[in-house]
Amino acid sequence: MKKLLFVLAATIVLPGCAATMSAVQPGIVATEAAFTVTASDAWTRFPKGLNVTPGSVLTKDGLGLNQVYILTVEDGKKMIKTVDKTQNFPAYAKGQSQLKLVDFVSTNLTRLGFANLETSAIEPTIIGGIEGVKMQISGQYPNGLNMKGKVAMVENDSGLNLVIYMAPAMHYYDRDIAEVDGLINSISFTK
Amino acid sequence: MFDKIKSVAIVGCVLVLSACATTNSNPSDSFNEERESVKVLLMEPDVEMRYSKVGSMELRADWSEVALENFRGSIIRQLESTGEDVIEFKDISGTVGDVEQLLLLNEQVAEAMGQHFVMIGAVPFKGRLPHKTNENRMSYTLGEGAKALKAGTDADYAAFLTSRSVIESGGSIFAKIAIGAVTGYVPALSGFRGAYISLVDLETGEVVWLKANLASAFAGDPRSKDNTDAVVDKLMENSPFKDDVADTTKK
Amino acid sequence: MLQSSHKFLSCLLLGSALIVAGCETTDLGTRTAGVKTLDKSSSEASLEYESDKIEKKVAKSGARIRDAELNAYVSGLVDDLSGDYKGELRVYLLEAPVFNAGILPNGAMVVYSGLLLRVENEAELSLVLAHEFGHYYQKHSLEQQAAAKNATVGNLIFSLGTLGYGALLGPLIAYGGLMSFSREHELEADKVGLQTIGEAGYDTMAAISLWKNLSEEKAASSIKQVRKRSARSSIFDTHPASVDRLKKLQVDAETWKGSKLEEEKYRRLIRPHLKSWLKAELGLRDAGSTLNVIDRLAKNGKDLGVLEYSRARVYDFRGDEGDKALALTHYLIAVKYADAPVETWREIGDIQSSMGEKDKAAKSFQEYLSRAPTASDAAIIKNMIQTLQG
Repeated sequence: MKKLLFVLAATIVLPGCAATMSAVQPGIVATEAAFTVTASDAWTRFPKGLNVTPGSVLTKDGLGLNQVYILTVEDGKKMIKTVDKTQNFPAYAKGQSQLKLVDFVSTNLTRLGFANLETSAIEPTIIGGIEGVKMQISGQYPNGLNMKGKVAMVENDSGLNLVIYMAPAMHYYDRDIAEVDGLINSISFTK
Repeated sequence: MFDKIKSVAIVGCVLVLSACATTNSNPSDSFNEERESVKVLLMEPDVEMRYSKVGSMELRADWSEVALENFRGSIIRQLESTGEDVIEFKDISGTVGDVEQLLLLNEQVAEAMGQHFVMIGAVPFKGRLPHKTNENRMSYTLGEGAKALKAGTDADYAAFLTSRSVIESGGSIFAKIAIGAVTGYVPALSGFRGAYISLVDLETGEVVWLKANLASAFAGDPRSKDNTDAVVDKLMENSPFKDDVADTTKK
Repeated sequence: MLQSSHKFLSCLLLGSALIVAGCETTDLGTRTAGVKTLDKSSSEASLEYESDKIEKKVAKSGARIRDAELNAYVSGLVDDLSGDYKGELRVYLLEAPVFNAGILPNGAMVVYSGLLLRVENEAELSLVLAHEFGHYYQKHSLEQQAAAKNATVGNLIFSLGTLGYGALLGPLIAYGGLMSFSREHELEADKVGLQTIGEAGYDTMAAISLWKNLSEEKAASSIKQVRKRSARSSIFDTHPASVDRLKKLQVDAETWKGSKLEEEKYRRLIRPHLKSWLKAELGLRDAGSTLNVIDRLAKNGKDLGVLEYSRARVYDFRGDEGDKALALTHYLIAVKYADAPVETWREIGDIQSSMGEKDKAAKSFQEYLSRAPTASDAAIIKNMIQTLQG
């Protein structure tokens, strides 16, 4: 909102900017990823056109307050898409160790602009019937606000399946973590 | 980056705004009908005025400072007119870490509200996050951390005011018409005035009042005291403070 | 965040109406120490006002390098180099793997970790700082803006090549038009830089070594577009290193010639950050460039535990034919040094495990756990050991 003015100065009709968001009702959420999750609460899904990851993005109050990425990265593909050819992003390679997967996720999140990104409580866990990894993340938003998050990752034939939750450490993370745990625990593979 | 994306996301929508539209969220009814005057902590108003010229846009120091003082005076006058006790954040020395994080969170909340509460075409008040349509989902909050501001000040509410204006130079307008002559597409003129206010209950952290006022290039120039008075009057129209005064008068 | 894309950043930047003006130069003379304009309606006052706002944001950035000694050291250098202007400049160190530094018109200077990692000594760092001071002293931002008044709307497009790190640099890049100067301005700042460090007794040949090193790194990049035209936010682009510029540098370097380099002292100060700054470089997945940086850091034979570990990481992530064996070799070299990161044993185990050397792998993982019993990934390591032993 504060940058409204800068933007107004553009005075250019931007294609794609008018993409609309859609409501996600409680229940099974069909996603762009190779799995579904079950939500117990309502969310808003961001338009695919605004997304640079191969998956869906959900929010409750706006991306700066809560964002859940639900995505599947296929073998050899990248989690971040860019048209900038001077930039190279980590690619997911099938059959890597869990250690490499942890690094893959944290490197990508760092590249997306989170400062001091740290991983903690990295634990093996069964997700959707397959052994995967859960971990906590923390860092700062670009403006310096402390961020907390949780990541669930599990590999199957479709690729690396991820649920990534990020929210301000103050108030918001705690408020929705039970709901997000519900999403993670309800991961069900469709492919 | 968040700033940028969100701003971009609302571009298309803001551009089609008609003049003098106002947006307000559902005012909370958390105010008691009969009350003592409340203590309002006025945060430093965030005011910027730019001068748009061909090829550049200056953030004018002189205009911004005048506009800031005008808004500060107007909001204090407005709050005091309903009997509130106003203290200013700038007068409080030594903010602690919690307050700094809280203010950063407030930035994110403001961005998120901007993402949600905008007008699409001629339909004002519509939330862009479609799931947030139920009454109970309309609320935005800073959470219990808001108490950090109460602790040092004993204030009941915090008031945040933001204003952005662009004054366009004659040359800039001319250039756009020239582009139109060549390309058949005339870029919209960027003269613009916008302001919004939010009131936060420092006990609960809830944003109990959010109202925006967007004006065209031809109204509400905040370099004029009368204009900021008028803008602030609109921003506080039907505010919880006002409602309460009306109720009290009835009795 | 993930919504970001180049297209959208460009949308915004179009909006911010920045100046990428042509080459017209307006000479507004130099700044007088301690004097600020009183005319609040002037462009100069506007620039300072906006800079103050941006500086407040930078000050709160999560990317700030919180190392009191390093901050005091760089600030001290700036104070020493800025003569009569001492105290007018403030330095912010930000962690981001880009070779860049910049100064806002109000005297707020920003230096990125990618630059701190690449300069080899105090002389090279001082040169960059003095160069930035030169922009401030010569009022280049203001001149740039004055020139921009003649720019056409077609010149407003300012492209941003840095996805992700753009967020950290956000407030600054949004201001990028004021931080990218014309060729004339760069040459002027070069001269101020060289004269300043020369008079302070530094070896001005630092200028030549710095540009030579950076050119070699660029040529070594694994990313074709970086080799062709470095569009990454870098001093290469904002401070073009043309042949005649280098020639001028060479001539000026002969004019003011000291001998001070302070390589040891500089390395001591950045040593605690080597691992973390190199980790950020590794995240760019530009093996050629990162190996070039590591080679230069390793040439004095210091910090080989961290450097060999980082070198091994490059091979490990690159994953070309034979890279796995190469990575293992360098991890094994790293552990011979006392400064090897504890994770080195973990990575050795990871590679051994992938090569089917189960016993060795389990042993390496156990070594890692005995050295880092509270590691955040201890649970998955234990799990891996069990699988290996199962």
